[in-house]
Amino acid sequence: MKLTPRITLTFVVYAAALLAAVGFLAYNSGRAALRSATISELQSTAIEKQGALEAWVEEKRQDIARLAQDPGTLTHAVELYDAPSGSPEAANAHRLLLEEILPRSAGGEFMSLMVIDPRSGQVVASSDPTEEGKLKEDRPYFLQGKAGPYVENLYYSVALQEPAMTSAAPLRAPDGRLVGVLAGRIDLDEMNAIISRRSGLHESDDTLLVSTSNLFVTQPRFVIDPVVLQRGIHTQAVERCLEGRSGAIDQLDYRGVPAIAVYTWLPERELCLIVKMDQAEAYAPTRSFGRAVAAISALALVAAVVIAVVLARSLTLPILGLQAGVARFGQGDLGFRLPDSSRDELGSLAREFNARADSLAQKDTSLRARAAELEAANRELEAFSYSVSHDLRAPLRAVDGFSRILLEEHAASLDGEARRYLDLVRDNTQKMGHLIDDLLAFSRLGRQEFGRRTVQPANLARQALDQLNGERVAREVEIEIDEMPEALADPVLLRQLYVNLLSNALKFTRKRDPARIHVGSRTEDGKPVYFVQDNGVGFDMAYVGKLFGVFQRLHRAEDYEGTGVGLAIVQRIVHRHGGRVWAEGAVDRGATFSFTLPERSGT
Amino acid sequence: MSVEMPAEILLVEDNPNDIELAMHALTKHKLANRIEVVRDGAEALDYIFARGAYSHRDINQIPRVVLLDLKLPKVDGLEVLRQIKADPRMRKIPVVALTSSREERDVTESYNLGINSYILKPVDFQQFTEAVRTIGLFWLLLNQPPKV
Repeated sequence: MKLTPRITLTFVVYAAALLAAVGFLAYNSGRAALRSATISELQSTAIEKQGALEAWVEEKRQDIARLAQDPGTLTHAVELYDAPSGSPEAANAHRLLLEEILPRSAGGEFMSLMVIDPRSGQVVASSDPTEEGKLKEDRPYFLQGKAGPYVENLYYSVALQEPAMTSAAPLRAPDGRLVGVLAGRIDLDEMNAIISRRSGLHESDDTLLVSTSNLFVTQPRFVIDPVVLQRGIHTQAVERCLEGRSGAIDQLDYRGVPAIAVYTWLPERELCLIVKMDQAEAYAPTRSFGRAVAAISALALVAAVVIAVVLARSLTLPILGLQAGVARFGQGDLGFRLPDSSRDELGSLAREFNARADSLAQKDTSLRARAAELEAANRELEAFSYSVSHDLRAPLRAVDGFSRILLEEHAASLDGEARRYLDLVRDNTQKMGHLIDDLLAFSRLGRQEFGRRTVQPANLARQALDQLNGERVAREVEIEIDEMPEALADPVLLRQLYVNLLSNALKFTRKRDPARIHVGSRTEDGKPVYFVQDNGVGFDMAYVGKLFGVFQRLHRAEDYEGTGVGLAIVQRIVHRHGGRVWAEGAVDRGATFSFTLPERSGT
Repeated sequence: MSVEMPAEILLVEDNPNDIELAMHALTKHKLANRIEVVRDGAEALDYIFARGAYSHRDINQIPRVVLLDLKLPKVDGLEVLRQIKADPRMRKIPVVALTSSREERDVTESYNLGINSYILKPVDFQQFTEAVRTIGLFWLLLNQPPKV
């Protein structure tokens, strides 16, 4: 991966993780804050409801107590109490008592009122005629009501087939006698109204009362069918509340909807007060907050990407610049220098590089100068040898030409001795001509075009032998040319090499019968070594060092003609190929010339 | 037949020995009186294009053959050859190079410029006639009118 994307990616991933963590924390703390705010709101609602409920109950208690002390009611109650049952006085007192209590019920403070005889527990007068004559002697409101004002908690009235709540107070004659118990049925709609009165702050808030037997006591907002004391509720809040605890909880409500609920156990009323609200509404702000956090995070991420790219580029641009500069320098633009203005590590790297480049350029310049000098010297040398061989030849031509004219046209005026001297003159000019030719050929080797390709040495050796046919006329020579590994060489030069080696071999085997020449190859260290071997006069290994020198000869000119350039040319050809050449031999035991060439493979 | 016979062979050669040897060979074969010798490349061009010292010469009298040494003072042989072959009137003159060696670059360059033949120095008449034969002038040069 390249540097710029790597730095960018690292930065962006880091930024994304950071933003995610911060966003998560912000979202969660926002949610927690909302929850606690919601819970305290719900709790204050619960406290308010509880207060209102208690106040209402107290009001009902006082209502019944006040009614029980009403002089009219009390007077007729005493009359009824004292009159014998079934007497006209009793009937009269009963009528008058009803007149007193009827206005107080059905539209008054109570739904119905009744007077119970404290001796039998029988209803002696009631705003509801069907109640009269019934026995209430075991009812808590009767038993408690004899002692003082009392409100009985909610219960299911079997007689009425509906929930009921009754308050009661003793009816006492002015002399202190207990003449009856006044009991009033409380209108539960009032309580319902108190409980279901909404704060108006929220949409989904709801308050409900639950009895100890897990029954709804007030009608919940989101249930249409009447459920009061008919349907059970078994939420976790209710369970905890009925254990006598108070608190708050996030849970599913009676509809199965996630809600936040505050539960309060009302020991006096033996009821559970639940104030709840849907989580959806409570946490609604967190959703928009979450969206805001997400949007801000996205923006921040985009900003992070931009910053990362800019940062990465600001880091990598100088590096890329360095790289490009080094590459440019490497491609040969030695004059190129890196900008080194920055004061950071890259700047010092650039300065370091420039210093190296300076010294390298300096070396390069001196190297180039040296190469140019050498080239010039070489050119001079070549021009020198070229003109030497030409200019040496000119006087030679004259000597030879005029000697020939003398011999051809003035032979008559010359004696035998003079003609012999002239022949010697011509012989020597011929030799000098050969020397010059060889010298020229040798110097030409350095200038010749050099083109390597795959060649078959055996074929070139055969061609060389054909070229030398003139030298083996009337001679018995056994020449063996093996097949050899192909080589990478200049065919013209390699043929010339074989011409020279074979010419040598033919020359120095002249006095052998039969003369044997073997051209072949062997393998040394896994590489082919080519050789030309003969059974000629050989040479003394003591002089092997002189063998390949120009104009170096190991034999007398009278015995073996030659200029001493042939082997020098052989050596030069092998060296131009990057190979190695050497000779082995002994006097009268023949000679072997071996050489190596670069291998075909790997080039 | 005028005494002012135009030269049929132009020999361009600076070395006096070579001139003498060439003249000897040609004289022996009775061509000496038809030879004009110039000593350097500039003079050769002056002669051929009838200018300078040779401005009096009739430019239409074109030599039958030019024997050209390649190594010449002032203007070298290859340049003389180039100018001859570049001129539409002179292009047809056969040019035979006289060289002292078979130097590869000279040979290649000469052939590129349109040399007709080579003769190795010293001028061997045998070689000369061979060269002349190859360029089709043999009959013309050897079957000349009788001398005056």
